[in-house]
Amino acid sequence: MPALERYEIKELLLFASLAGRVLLENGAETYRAESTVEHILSSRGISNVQAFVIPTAIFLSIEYENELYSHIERNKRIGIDLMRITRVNELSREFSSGDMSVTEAKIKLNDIKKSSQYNLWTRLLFAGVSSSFFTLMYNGGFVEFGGAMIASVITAAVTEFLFALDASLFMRNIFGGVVAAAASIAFSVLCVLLGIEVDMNIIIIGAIMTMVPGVAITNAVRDSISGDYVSGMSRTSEAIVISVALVLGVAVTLNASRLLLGGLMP
Amino acid sequence: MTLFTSGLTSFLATLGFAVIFNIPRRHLLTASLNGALGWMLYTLIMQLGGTIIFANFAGAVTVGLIGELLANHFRKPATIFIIPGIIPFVPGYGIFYTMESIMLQNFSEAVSKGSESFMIAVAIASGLIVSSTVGKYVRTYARRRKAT
Repeated sequence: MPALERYEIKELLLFASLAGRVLLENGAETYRAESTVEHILSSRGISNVQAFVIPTAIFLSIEYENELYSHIERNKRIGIDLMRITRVNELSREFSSGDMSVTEAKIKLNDIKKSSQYNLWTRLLFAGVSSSFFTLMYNGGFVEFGGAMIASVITAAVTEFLFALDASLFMRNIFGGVVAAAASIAFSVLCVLLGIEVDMNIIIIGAIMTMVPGVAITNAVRDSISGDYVSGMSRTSEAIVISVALVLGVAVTLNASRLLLGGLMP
Repeated sequence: MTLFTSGLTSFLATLGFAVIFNIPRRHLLTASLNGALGWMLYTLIMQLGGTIIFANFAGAVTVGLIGELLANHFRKPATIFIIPGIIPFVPGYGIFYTMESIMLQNFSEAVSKGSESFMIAVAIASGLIVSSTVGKYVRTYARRRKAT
């Protein structure tokens, strides 16, 4: 393996930490980000790699020919995109086993960062599908099924819009909660006016189902059990922030509409 | 709810999440089927009178093991089959309900629902870790046998 120049090490370091960051941004587990970064660096002959990853940052330090190099990469965006995780995984494997240049790999990585597979309408529709089938799991009927479908599509549209505006996690969820509750209330009031029996709570449960932090809390416990305690705490805090924001949004909307609509509410 | 309808509803609920999580198109149906199988086992255990923690643990182990098998077969990371697969189990609504109870100052409800949700999350997480550890050992064993 040829010896690396100083600038080559820098490029390699930046590429490895960016790969780790793309993984974190898209909801990969902590150990996966850590091992990917280590794998990329050691494939180019760097023997002493220390990577410390938490969901909000990557701390990286390497030793090469008696010199220490280090880099910190911040991460502020957390979502779940399993397609991108798969592609980064493939890229890192390809990079480690062959002699792909760092420049080429970086171009591919930036490509992955922007990639998306399903268009907006498909995503909205399937948010509706999953919410409405969740109402059936919570013993809802056909009315609740339809209500949750409509409310959830509207909610998903609003949260996608806020995500595009780079709104914070807290703001996204608080508005998501407000919109989900408002749409469910509007649907239920309409049902009451038409004389159809409806359980509003089940519709609200369905509408918020795509936002509740179930996967976040499970990943938090998973990280803690595997010994990544700081990551575990970080993801737990994330789950708490999400649920507090959601509850605030839903409760405020419910309370306000009780005051305004009074007897019309089911 | 019968076993069949619970399988069907959880399949479609998981499918929706699989699209939201941007699973590669080729694996949409397999990932959702994984969730449905796990949830059917959960329903079966609950109908037989098992505890909620055991049912979640068993469901998560199943989802994890099937995920490892699929990952091995398609040469993809197991996460893409496991994350959608655990969607029917995860206590998302439980955590929401806990927070709601705290906000309504219904503290005893919050404690009981909160600890239940936490234990469900622990059951799922440990189920997944058990299955991934088993998967890892099986892979190492198979590789060692191939090498000799």
